[in-house]
Amino acid sequence: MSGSGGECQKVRTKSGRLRFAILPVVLLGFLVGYFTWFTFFEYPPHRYHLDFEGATPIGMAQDMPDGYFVKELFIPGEVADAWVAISATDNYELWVNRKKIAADSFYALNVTNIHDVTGHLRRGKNVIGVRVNLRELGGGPGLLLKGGYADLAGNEHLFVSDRTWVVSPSFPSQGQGDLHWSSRQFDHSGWEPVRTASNFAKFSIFPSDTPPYLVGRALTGYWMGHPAPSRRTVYFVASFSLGGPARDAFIGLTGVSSYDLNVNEVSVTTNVLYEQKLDIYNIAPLLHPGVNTIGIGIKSMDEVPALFVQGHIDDGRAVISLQNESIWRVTDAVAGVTDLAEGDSLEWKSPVSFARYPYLPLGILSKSEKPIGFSLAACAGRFLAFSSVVGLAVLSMVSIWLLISFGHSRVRHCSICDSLCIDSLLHLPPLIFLIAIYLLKYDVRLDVSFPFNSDFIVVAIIILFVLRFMEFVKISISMVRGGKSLETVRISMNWLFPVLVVSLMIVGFLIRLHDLDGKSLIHDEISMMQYTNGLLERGYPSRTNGPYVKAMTTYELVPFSIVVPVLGAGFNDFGGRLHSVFWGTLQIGMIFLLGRQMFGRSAGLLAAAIQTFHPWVNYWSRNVFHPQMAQFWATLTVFFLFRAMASDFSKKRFVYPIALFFSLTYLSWEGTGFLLAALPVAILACKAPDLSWLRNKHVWASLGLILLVIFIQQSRRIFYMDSFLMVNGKLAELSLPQPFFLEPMYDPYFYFHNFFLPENNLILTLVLIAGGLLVFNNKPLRYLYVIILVPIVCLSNLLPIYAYRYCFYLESFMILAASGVVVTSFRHAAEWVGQEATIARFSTCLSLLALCALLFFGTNTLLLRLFRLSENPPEPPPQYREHIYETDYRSADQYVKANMQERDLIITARSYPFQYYAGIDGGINGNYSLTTLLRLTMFFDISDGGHPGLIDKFAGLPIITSLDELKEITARYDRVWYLSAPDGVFETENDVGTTSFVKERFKVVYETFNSKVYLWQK
Amino acid sequence: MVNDNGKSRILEFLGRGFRIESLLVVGAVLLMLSPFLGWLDRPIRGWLTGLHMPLAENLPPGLSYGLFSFSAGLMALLAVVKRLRWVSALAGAAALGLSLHFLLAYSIINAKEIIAINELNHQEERIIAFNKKNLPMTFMVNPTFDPTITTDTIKSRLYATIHFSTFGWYASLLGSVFIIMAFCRSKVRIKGKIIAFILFVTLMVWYVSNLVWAAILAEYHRDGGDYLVGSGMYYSAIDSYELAVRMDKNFNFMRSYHSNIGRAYYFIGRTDTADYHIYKGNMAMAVDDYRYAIFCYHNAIINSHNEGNVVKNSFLAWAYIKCGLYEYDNGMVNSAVESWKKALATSPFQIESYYYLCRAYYDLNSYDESVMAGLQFLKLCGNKIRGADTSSNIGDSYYRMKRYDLAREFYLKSLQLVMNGNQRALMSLVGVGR
Repeated sequence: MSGSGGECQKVRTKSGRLRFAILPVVLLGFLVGYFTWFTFFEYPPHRYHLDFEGATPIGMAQDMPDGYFVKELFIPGEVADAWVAISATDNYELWVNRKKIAADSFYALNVTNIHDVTGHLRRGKNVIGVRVNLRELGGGPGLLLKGGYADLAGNEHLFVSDRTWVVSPSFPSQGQGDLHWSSRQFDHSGWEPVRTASNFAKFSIFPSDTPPYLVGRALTGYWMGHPAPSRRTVYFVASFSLGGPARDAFIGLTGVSSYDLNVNEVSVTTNVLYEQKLDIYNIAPLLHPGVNTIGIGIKSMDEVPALFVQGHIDDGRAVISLQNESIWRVTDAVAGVTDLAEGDSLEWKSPVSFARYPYLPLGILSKSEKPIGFSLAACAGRFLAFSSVVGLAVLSMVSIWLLISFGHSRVRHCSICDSLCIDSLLHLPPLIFLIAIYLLKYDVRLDVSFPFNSDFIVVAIIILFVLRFMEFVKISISMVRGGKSLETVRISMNWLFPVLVVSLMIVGFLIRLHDLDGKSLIHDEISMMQYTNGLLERGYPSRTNGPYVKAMTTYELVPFSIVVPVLGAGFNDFGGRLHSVFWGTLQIGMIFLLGRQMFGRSAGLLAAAIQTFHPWVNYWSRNVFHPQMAQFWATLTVFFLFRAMASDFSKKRFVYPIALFFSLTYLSWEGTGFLLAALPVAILACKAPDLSWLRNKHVWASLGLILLVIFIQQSRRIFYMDSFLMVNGKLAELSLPQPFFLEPMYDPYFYFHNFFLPENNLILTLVLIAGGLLVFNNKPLRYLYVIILVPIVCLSNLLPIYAYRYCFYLESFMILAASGVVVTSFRHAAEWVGQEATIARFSTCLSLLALCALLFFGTNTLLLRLFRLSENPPEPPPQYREHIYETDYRSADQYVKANMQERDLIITARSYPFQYYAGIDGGINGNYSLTTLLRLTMFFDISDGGHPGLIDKFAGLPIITSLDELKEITARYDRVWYLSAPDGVFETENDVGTTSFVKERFKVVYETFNSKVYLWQK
Repeated sequence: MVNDNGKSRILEFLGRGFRIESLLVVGAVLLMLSPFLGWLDRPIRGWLTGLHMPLAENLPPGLSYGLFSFSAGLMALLAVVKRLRWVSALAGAAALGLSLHFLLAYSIINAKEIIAINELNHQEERIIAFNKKNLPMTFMVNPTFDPTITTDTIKSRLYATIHFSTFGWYASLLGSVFIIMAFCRSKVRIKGKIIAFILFVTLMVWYVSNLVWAAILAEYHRDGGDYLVGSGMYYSAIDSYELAVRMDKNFNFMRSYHSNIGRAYYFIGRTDTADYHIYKGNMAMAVDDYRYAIFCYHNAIINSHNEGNVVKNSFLAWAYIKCGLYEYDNGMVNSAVESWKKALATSPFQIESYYYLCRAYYDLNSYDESVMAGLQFLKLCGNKIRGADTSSNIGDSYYRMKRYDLAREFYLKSLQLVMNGNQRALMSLVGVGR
């Protein structure tokens, strides 16, 4: 013992380490308190599994993304209640008798919900239509549905998805296009029968956020009133006791004529106008264990006050139904009272039943969920209770920490400071365990309430005490005994890192190569292919734009990169995308090198692993466009600047590559020029107040080279752009940064929402925030933070156009910074104690490994699906979620090519995809482009003998700018095609008259991902 | 150019810039710049600069946030002198206190300002809805526009103040942080720093709790009033509401407050109170019976004592606006024009009326009046998007008057104000889609 005490004295003391040592203890205390609150005192919000018993998942024969499912239902009598529960792949719209009831989506899941359709189902023939839109390639849309209705007698009738349903794979229309596919007059006899959905089981069913208790069953019960019908203000009260916190508590009510709802003496809502609706409120947050009171005031001036109430209150032990009149009391003498506590002196009566639902006074009621308002008192009460529980947990944790550390120092004869540090490190594994469990709340396969289970709290505490026990009895762990053995292990593992990085690069390459041309190119990619074609044909990146040959004035370097693999693999989608696979694979190795340089090889390896599997990174490293290439060059620039800084800019071999690689970054996309603003700030952040680098002639020479490249590029751009009269020029017209923060469309939060908050990046952002404290003492971290933040600030404030991809080149730095924070912080933590504190060091290593694993799995979908982390989980920003298909130009264009006839007119929303996919080998071109709201960038054709009007920017087709023009042009042809791809912009690029004209005259003959092919056959 | 140590003097001088002095100078510059920037960004109207925002309602307009911020900046500059470094504590604390006071003043002390600004926000919301319905190509909206903002609770008013605050306040806050950082890094003894810190925190806690406590209590009584009305205990509810307004005068400026207490008066039949009629008017508004609502609000004015202006400005003008929109939607453009004119006569703050009038006169072929109304709106408008929409409206009127040069001028002006996404001006200039 004394020996070990002596060893403890050797522990390196460091002033202020206690300030950090308390952090794990407080954090663990906070988490334990937080978990305790939601486990024992309040049920967290959760989702609901719906009943689909008897229903079959249905699909269709074709592997098309859209399916229009229809069920014709004959109802013999009046309907008092009706509802439909749906689960469908990705996205659906529910229609009943041509009325759109609801739409819901959650990409990469079977989105599920239950909807009230009371009032929409009627006696006679009814049509239930569901449009299911799959956003992933492979398989067709799937639908699982169970609905029901109740007749006036209260008998329930159910219907489910089965073989009696029919389906259409493309948008169906009849008549003059005004007969909706879900209308009762529509003839569905020619539709295909459904098949069992092959695709449905691929996705998990995402539980519904609408509770089925009041929507998914027939309403029962009676209207209630005061025994004296002449009263105009009456107050109903129901008291009931709960054995624990309310798990679910919903009340649905309506009254004649106005009602007020109070729960436990808190005003919840007031409704002054009565409608034929049952308003449903979630009152669970206002209930507590013990006796609860619900009060409903009904006020009326002319009519007899009446109340209809339904309720479902579940405390995990029993369910209380509020429709039971026996639990209600009513009084009419409240006005003169000052406090309901005097209630005993009031004349309380049993309510009388007026009429059974669905009869008078309001008849059939539809249902709608309404939010409740929290009063200040209710908010303050909850906050105080929550703070007390959390505060108590923190206090207990800190007290136990102090006590045990005191005991430890006495037993081990070491300083109290060392003992506190050692015991603090033992808190790390349970802390990481609870964080990991908490993160599972965001996995879409698990319920939101999953982490709040007493078992997890117990496990965390057991882990802590087991580690403490081990520390006390000094169980040694051979792996972390320290000294020479650790060094030996380190040296013997030297070979492992290169092997792992190369393996990651191989895996990354294969992932990126897999099914590379499975999806169609999107329009930006196709424009790059056009310039590449120009490079092959004319020797410089350019394209034919109607009568002009237009040289490339932005992304100049990209075609040169594309052309290399194209020469080998051919001018096709696969060949075009291959260059990004190459840059993406190299980037994995590059980020490792940069990480190793800054934080050591562990951080580099972690960053490389995250980079390999990150969905957003994978998207761009399988894309023809510039982002992956720009990211690679930007990383090289930052790498060489870091090396140059480390050598005080004394080595030319580090200084001049900065100019070279920055120029390459800039020529990949000019927007990356903001990196130039970040570089000096980063140097200042790391080297100030030392400004000696400003005297270095090589630094200035390097800057001069960069400015020269920028000057030449900008001059060339202005020179070429001057030849065109352009309307709606966007990014292409921009040259220098502008004070966009003074403009009305300025959005300071765009990149905050779309770079820092999307699902896979949020964990990285949280780590960066947590690592903020380290920035002051860690130069590499400070350097990276500046490199990330300065361009983001510039992009937000100085570039008049926002796009998700503009900040992609910063993604690697974010990954690296997060990896650096994790590794550095644990390295610091391990330094708090000496080599001899084996258990503490073991728990630190264990926590580091666990946190690395958490960071790795939290940023991809290999193991976890933390989609709920996204700011908008159902529909995250484009490209962030894997496998989502944006726009399928290819099959739509090829369909037109295969079915068109010689004298056909073709109108396109985007001309160049059609030119690329349909016209590249057959000489077929679209005849016109359509945008009556002038949304496209376009040129005025000033060439001799050219079209005297506007032509589109890419293929040079004449543009139809009004409905009159459209009518006049289409009148000359017997068959007219309109290629609405991307279909999402059809409504925003054209006026209402034009869209209506197209929908009425044309018929959809083919539908695929975000694309529709219309044909007008006269 | 080289000193005794062989280092460049210029670089040595510049290197000093990264010491305490630079923090002080940057902080001072930010503080001295803030008076000339907007502290509040009012929807439609635009920036309210620090120089035009008096520190308190009863103080002369010259004693503004801007002036105090500027003075704090000057003090910070004094602290550049080493001996006067302690002044930075005063300057930083004053500037930080001023920034926090701004938040509290607008959300708690004198909330009527933020309520009025939120009313402008609702005016903008109605203009956007009007555009969507009647001018289909005019759908530009500021990305930060938030129509869901309310001002009924302390929390919501705090959020509203932060939402509407802009660069001037940011500069002041950031400047104060820089100056405090400079003080923290200075060589003033640690004891002095700790004393300064404790003094500042104590002062702020005392100040904030003093202010907030009364407002919280008032809100508690207001909520209690809501509960009592819901339970049917009207007399107690009225007592509770009156207690609330005695504790916090800002309730006088909240529509919801008048409506809720009016409900209590309504059920006990107190027709002699203005709020009784306000509640009746609100009920009529809810069922689109605007004429009756206007009648009720007039009755409210007759029965009002000190609430008269609130009722007049807010409820009656609001009813006229809604009435005009309803009439316009139903093709009664002449009546709508009259309603909007009455709204303006009732309250000059209803500047949305000018916008509607500009379009309504155009529909009535009264192009001169349309242009006049449009120009009047432009005079009051500081929002580029709304300005662009109005310029296009004026352009349309000139086009109908065959004053093509002026029409072109206004379309160009519209396009100049908003370049991206201004399809209406663009198409008018190109000559399609009108």
